[in-house]
Amino acid sequence: MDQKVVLDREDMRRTLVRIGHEIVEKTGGRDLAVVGIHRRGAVIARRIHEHLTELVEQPVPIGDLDISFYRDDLALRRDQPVVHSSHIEFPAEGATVVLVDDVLYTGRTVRAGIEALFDYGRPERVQLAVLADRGHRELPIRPDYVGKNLPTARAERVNVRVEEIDGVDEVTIAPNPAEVAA
Amino acid sequence: MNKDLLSIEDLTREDIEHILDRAESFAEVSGRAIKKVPTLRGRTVINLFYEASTRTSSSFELAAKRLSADLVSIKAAGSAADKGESLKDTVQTLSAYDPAAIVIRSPHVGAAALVARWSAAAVVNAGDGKHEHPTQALLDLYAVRRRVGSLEGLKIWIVGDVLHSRVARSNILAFRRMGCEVTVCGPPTLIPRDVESLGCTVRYSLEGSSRADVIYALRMQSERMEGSFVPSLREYAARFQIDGRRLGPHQILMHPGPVNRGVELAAEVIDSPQALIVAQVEAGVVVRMAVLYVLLAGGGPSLAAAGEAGGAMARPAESEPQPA
Amino acid sequence: MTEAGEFLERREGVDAEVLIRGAHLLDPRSGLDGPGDVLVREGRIAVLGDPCGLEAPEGAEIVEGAGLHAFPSFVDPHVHLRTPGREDEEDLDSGTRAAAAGGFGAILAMPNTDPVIDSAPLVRSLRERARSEARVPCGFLAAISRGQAGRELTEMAELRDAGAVAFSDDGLPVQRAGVLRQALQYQRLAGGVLALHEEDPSLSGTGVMHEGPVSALLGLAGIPSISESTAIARDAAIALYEGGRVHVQHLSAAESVAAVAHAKALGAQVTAEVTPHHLTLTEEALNNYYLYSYRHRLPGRG
Repeated sequence: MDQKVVLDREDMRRTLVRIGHEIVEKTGGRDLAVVGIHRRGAVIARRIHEHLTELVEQPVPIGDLDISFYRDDLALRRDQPVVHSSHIEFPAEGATVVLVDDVLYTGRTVRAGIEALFDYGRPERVQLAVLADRGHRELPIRPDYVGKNLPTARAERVNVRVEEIDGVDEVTIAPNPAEVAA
Repeated sequence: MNKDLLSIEDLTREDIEHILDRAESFAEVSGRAIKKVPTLRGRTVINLFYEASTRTSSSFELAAKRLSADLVSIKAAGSAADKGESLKDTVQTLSAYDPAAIVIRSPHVGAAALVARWSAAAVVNAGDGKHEHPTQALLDLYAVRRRVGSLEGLKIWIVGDVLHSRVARSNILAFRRMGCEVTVCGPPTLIPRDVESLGCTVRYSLEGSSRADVIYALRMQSERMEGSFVPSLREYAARFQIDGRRLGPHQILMHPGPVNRGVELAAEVIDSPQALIVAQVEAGVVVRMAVLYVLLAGGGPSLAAAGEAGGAMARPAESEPQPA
Repeated sequence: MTEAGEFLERREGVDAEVLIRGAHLLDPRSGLDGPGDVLVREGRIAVLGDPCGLEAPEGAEIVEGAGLHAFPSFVDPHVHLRTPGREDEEDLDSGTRAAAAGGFGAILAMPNTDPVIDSAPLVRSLRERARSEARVPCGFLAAISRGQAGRELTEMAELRDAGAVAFSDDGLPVQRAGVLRQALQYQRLAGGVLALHEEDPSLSGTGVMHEGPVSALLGLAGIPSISESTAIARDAAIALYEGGRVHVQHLSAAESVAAVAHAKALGAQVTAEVTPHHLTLTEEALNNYYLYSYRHRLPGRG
């Protein structure tokens, strides 16, 4: 397939370290919590969390969210989304929760993620960190921390691959096969 | 999966595993302070109960509510059915509300299947006569799987009034489908002829039940039992009651409830660590959430194209594993 | 298989030491048919010898058998000891004495007493009494249905544990096929053959004798043979279907013999009994002697 690597392994590592620093700068590192959105958002959240625990003295809780039950397209889809379990084992009340996802696109996943998060409690603040922002927002959602802005066409696909799931760390852009065929 | 859940017979092992996995996700939801997700927001679930039921109807109600569905619960008493309306007319009337799902319990075998034919809604059989009660079997599988991890190869003894039990029928099929060995045990008058054809072994005494991993006691419906199907509940209890002596420390005890204390179960085993009875009730809500979710999420009436164009979240790049 | 013996009780006592000398010995099973001596020790046949060839041991009773026949003892699977309730008619002592006198080595008592033997304590108390009173080994049947009312099964499993050798509503048929079916199903759990008084009351009606020329002549209401034979056919079919065992009591008509034979040919586990009077008397006995004392609940038949 004709795809272009926009972030390689080292780029990704540096990007996530930078995001960690930005989070500490912006929040002061107090009452922080990190929550990743399944699946790759959760992996990326764990990596950011690793950096954060080196930078912040107090413990930073981490969790992950599955947003399947909060999707706005359940009645529309023909297939069922793959559902994972959510793990939020700390009180969300009063915390600054950094929601982490791999790619920010329409904003619908993030909306669902915020809604899911609020079912666990009432955080003081919710911030958003994404590895890649490819534009084409359909909702008024803006990330607080961006790894890389990727101007794309709707027809293109952004593939985030992580070692834990895909065996490789990279971000690529590829033409969407379905739309190419059309 | 079909449009409806009418019988365990319609489910493959993969279907069942899918439902149980989903139930695990909902167990997480049920553990939260806010036990509700917006999954079925704006969709209507109708509970149509032509037979008295406490735990099944309440757990279906809770399941629908925790999925944010709008719920209408109709009990036979006081409904139009009481005034002689036929099931078909009732279903047609209710269809005007455009329900996403109809949950039906009826004293008549096949009632759920008929409703499924008359309605575009997903129909869930919550018990049709003495035929089946598939969600009970699913929640039982779920409860056992949670306790022991894997169902494969487990030896299940279903003890008691198999003849009048839809729970038994659904459970024989369900445990068999999951790779368990099923034995039914009870007085010969309460074992249906040719029940072996469902893939189980028949025993007329509890001898040998110590080899079972799970003992599933059925409810003795005493009001219609005594003198005809069994000479007396006393004699039934003497032969088939599960008590401390007959329940091994590593066996699991199940019962669909409500329990007749001192008949099918002795008081000492009901609260024993082996008993899974409370876990079964807890499983009721999450498994029924899973059933409603599996039937109603996805498989929507729209075209594939709608998913591509309208459902932006469906795009694989954002949250789904991708083809290599 | 349970040994029938464990259901039989008899009085404790000294076992017989007897020498029967020079009787004609007859045992169809072993083919024995000729004169000989039998020495019984501790209640068992110890030695068979040539006529007048055996020595009586010290203290043994000697029976001079010349001109007599000696048989293996008979078993009567259908007696009425009328205990409890009608001990004025018969009781354990009188009934078992009669049995012993008649050469019966074991008897089975019917449960249609007053009260009906339909609960375990009754069976246990009868067995207890037999242990002190019975002259020959004695077994007790329990009822199939509570009070022999034909509606609800007795606690057959518990009755069996208490020592009921078999089950019967003798004196009355099990009218409802459904009840018989349940009893046959339950037999798989409880064991014990079901001994059946075969009669369809809607056919026998108010009859008092075999329905035929004699009843026509005497003006007595007849009992048609089909009252029995159709009931046997029905019950044998149910037994075959359920894989159960039934025993037809006091069979009295040729049609009934045919029904039993037919059921056996199909594989049904059916046995039958017949009484001496049904073999030796017919309704002609009524005609010739006009003796009402010959009337019997199950009629003699031509």
